[in-house]
Amino acid sequence: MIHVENISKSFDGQVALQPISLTFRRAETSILIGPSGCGKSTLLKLLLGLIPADTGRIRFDDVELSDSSVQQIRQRTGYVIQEGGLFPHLTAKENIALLARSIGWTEAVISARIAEIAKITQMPVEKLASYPAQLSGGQRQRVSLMRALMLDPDVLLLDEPLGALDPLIRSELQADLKDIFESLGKTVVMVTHDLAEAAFFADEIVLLREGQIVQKGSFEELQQKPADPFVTKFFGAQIDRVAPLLSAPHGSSPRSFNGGGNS
Amino acid sequence: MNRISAATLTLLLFSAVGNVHAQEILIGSKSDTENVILGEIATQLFKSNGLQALHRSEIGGTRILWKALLSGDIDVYPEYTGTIIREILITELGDESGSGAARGELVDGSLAEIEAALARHGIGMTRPLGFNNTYVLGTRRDTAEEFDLRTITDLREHKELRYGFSNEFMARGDGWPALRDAYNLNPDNVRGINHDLAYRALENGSIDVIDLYSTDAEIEYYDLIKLRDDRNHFPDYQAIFLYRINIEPGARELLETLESSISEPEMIRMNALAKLESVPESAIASQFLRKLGVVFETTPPETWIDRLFRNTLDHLFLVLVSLITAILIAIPLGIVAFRRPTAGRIILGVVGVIYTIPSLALLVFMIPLLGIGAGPAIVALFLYSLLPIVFNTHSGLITIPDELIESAHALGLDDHTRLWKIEFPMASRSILTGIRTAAVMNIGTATLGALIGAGGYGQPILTGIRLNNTVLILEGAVPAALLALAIQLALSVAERWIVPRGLRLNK
Repeated sequence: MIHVENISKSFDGQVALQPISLTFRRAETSILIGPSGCGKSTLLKLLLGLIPADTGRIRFDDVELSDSSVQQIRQRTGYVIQEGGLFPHLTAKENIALLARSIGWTEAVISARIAEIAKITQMPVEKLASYPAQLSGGQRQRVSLMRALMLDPDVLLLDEPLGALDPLIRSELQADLKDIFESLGKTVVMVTHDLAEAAFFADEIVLLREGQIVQKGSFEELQQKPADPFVTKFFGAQIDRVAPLLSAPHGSSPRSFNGGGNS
Repeated sequence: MNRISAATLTLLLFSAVGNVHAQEILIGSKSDTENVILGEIATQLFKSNGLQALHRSEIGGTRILWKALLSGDIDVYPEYTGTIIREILITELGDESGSGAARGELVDGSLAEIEAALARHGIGMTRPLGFNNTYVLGTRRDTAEEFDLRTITDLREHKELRYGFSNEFMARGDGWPALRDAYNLNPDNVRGINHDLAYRALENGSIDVIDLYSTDAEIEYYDLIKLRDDRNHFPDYQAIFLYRINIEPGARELLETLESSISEPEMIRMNALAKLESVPESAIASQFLRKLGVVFETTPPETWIDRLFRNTLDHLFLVLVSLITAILIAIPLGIVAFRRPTAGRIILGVVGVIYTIPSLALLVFMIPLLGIGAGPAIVALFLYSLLPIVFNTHSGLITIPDELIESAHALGLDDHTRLWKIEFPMASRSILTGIRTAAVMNIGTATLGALIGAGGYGQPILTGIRLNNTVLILEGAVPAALLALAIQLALSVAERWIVPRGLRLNK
């Protein structure tokens, strides 16, 4: 689905990403993980053309990322960041509808689509008239996800989407997100620094360190056949928190909420 | 009519526009009472003989009037022969002809010679009006007695005396620099001061020596001692009218009828009426003309309400036209500065430099290009308004959080949508603050427009300073302050409409 070939990036002479190549497979959830500064967010931004790569190329199926294709690729890709990146001067609904309006969707179609994805993301519809500042952190991330899903993109890119939430809300949203990814069959690339989250979501984990891929594979592969002492070290530091999550049956994490977040 | 021509000037913003008053004779006068009275006399004389005439009074100093006459912004103004020889022919014509030896043009300074020199520039000069208004240096009587001062030479012994000279005198070819050299004076303390304020400063003891015009009414009023020009430094300053040679022949003949009609005591008396008894210049002029047998139905003097209304219209016109033009140009400049950092540095730099040009200098620079009146004032105000609006537009855009700019890109919005739906609304508060700053600043700066004949609230302030009339000063200052408050209020109401509700929630 997404092919990364020899992509590298430096900022002011500081290497953020060594030339790397990898493929994100269709309808799978890939997790980019690693310590701060490992290049995981940089890679995500490169995928969307938000920063230009120094070398290499990126293809979405057969379409190569370039100046002429970037806008089309962005419109077919949903992007969610840590604090949601919602525009504070627009209501939740206006945020969600912004792109659809700009490409000429009718209000009727927009409303129908918003109702549909509100259901998917468990976002209370009456809250959509509110401004971001009036929503809880969890609701803001749901709105951000709705905005990403509005045009029904094939690909979702998420940069620490749950990083700013408190633990209870976070686990609710984790479960909801996982349901959404699986039921909609999206190709997902998510950045996190939290191993428990990675283990929970990942079909494939890509562990990065100092701009290089240390190892990629399933959680079990990384855990059981570490390719590098760093893998063991990285896992060792977080594994206590991962174990209970992994023991829970798939998709049945605590979900006691009724869609409202922590308001 | 006046306002229409100003509007034309504005539309053609940077292009020079000639005289649009084909039929109307425009009389100019300097910002001193005697000149205003003489200008008023000429104006009424024309009108009483069926000519259309308009007096643009208190336009500025010699240079501004002379340039306006050359460019055709005015057709006639009162001048003095000494000023023509020592100031105009030396500095102005000398510079323009590039010969640098313009002084050599005049051999003996006779009237015929001056006339011939002026004629080469399309300017004519009437016969002398009958009085000589020369420069003199003066002191209070007690100062003169204390230091035993009778002549200018006597000043040499007293370096400690404080001098306050009119700003024009400080810089003129025949003024302070030449006088200092001629008498070898070397005082410790010399400063420039408005001529009308100088009398008051002399009286309250802040300064000891000032320059006087020999026909000033204040000399007698304040009981001042004139120091004799014992080295004959100052030439004759015979009052005359300068006019454009292509003026209507009838107007020229009328001006010549004033030859030798005004004696020195007569002029001092008229100055005293205006400055000490607050008689309007127009009334003084018609009284004088009646004595010459010229009967003229003077229109009743403007009431203060009429004047306030006219000044308000003039002021609003200056402020609004310059502000709206600046908004239309500065916001796009701010956007370009934000989107293209290299061009941005240049734009912000240039706009910053423009802002540092002193307003009076900018107004005067513009006279050769745009003449006098509302045109150059509007261009100057426009240029000053650029800085706050460009800077605030730029900073409003540049302070939008990176993740929001990134989100807008990541969504795949096109440039147009990003600008209008995201960047503009997010920067709107800052942009409005810039507009507000520019508006308030403009209202203040526009009062200087009166110095070059643009009218507005500056006019009563200038006249009030000249006539030592506090009420008149307040007539300009108070409405200017109120207008600033009103615009502030209007813009804060506008803010509620323009700044999106979501941004106001945080506050």
